[in-house]
Amino acid sequence: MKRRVAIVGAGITLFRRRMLETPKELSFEASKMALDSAGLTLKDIQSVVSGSAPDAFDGVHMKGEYYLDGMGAIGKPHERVYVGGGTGVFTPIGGWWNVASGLYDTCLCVAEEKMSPLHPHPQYAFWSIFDQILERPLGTTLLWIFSLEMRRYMHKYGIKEEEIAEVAVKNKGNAVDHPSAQLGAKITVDDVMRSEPICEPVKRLDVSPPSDGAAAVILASEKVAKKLTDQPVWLDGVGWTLDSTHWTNRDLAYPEYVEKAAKMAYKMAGIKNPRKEIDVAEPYDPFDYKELHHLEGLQLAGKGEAPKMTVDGVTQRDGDLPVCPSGGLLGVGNPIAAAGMMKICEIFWQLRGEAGKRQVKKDARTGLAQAWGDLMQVGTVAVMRS
Amino acid sequence: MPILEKITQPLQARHWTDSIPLEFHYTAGVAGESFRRELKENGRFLSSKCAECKTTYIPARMFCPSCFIEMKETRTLEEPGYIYSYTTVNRNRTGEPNGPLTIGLIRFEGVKGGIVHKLDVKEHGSVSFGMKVVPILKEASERTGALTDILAFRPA
Ligand SMILES: [Zn+2]
Repeated sequence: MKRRVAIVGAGITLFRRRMLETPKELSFEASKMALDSAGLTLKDIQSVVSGSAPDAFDGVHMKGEYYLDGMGAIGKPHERVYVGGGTGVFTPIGGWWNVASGLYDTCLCVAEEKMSPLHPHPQYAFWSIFDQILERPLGTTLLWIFSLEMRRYMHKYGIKEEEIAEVAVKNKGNAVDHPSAQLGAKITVDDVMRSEPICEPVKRLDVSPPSDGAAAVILASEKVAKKLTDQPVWLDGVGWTLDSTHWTNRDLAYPEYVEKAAKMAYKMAGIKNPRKEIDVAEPYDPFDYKELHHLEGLQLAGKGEAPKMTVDGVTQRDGDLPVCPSGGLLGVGNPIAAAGMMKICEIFWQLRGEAGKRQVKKDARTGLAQAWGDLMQVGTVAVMRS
Repeated sequence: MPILEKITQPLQARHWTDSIPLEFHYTAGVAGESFRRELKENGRFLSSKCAECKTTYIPARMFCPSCFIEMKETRTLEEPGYIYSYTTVNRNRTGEPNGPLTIGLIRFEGVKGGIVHKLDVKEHGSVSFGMKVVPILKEASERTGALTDILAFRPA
């Protein structure tokens, strides 16, 4: 019999291209802020779950073992979860196992990423994920896949680049109000269209930046959460699935692995009609088209319909379904695992009415955060309620 | 398959080589910056003291991992270190003969943590537990804030 799990505190560092702080120090800053916000000290924490993407970013092998001092995990049960870009949302899912199972009443969940050490570029960490026979000899980069995917998506539903660019405009604009943001800016569709084509149709402003940063939340069992706060945010549904690394098998226009993860989370949370029941969403947006792609996989838009929703303003902060009110990865930044956790933090603050200038207009009671990654094969989803 | 083909020389197996070129540019961190600066500029070790549990840590660090609070108080260590343990290295990490090289874990009275470094001693037998040691430093003008600013530790 699983127990209900609540989020009772959240913390986040600045997201920047290069931070002076070490991975331990970044983790400490986010963890400490989360503890302070919950009115807890480390003594109150029974277990720790951490998340971080490839060791090759920070340049420390066995990163989980390395950074744990900064998460207060010395001498406590600690585990690191890892599903590439999906890690940030998978981290509180790992924490959920700890608390829902009845093992622990409190769990600190921290996601950290320091991408700046890796030279010549953080992209080099992905060199080894491609097939040695079929792909690596060609000098494949992740951008190849994303461009093939974006173009296939556009082709299948007759979507224009300008419609997709609206997502970058919205998210970078939203990020102006996020105190951690790296790339908040008021830009126009024209700016996006005129930015450098890196791997067509993907242009410079369609893409999120590499970043350093950390973010954390604290999970508690129902009994403990109710003692700590009048405003627990319940982690009512979690879902995750993986597809094969044979990405060439996939329908590039539709992320089935996100659909499967979302349906698992919705079932657990008792959500029958996601489009009606989800008030605010933070889908993973490392690229602008991915927000649209994911909205469709999450059943928050019909297939091929997310661009129109965006153009019509439905996904703005004052719209009927605000999407990435934080500013997303496109605006706040993309320290891989920490970026997914940033989305969990954002939904937590939105559902508590603590998002300040970023607060959505509608009375949001149910929210969703989603991340995606590995070799574009994993979906991780969390449904939260106030 | 080398085993099925009864290949005993791995180079006869059909394989190809590739490499993943990675290079890392690390930051020293907030506390690491001050530790390195003190070593470079003054040739001394900087420690941090926790206001709650009163533990002093070397090298200086941003937070106490037990009390989980920021440590704002720093202090340079003035007294010599002592040998906590030691070994003699005869081969390097690729297995080549290298040495003998005497290595010690150096600690400081009342301080948590330590520094691993070479010991400038004639022979292994002259090292003992608790022996007081001090660093042999490069000239100030040559120091960069790296641990190699210390050439070795020698008996005090
Ligand atoms: Zn302490």
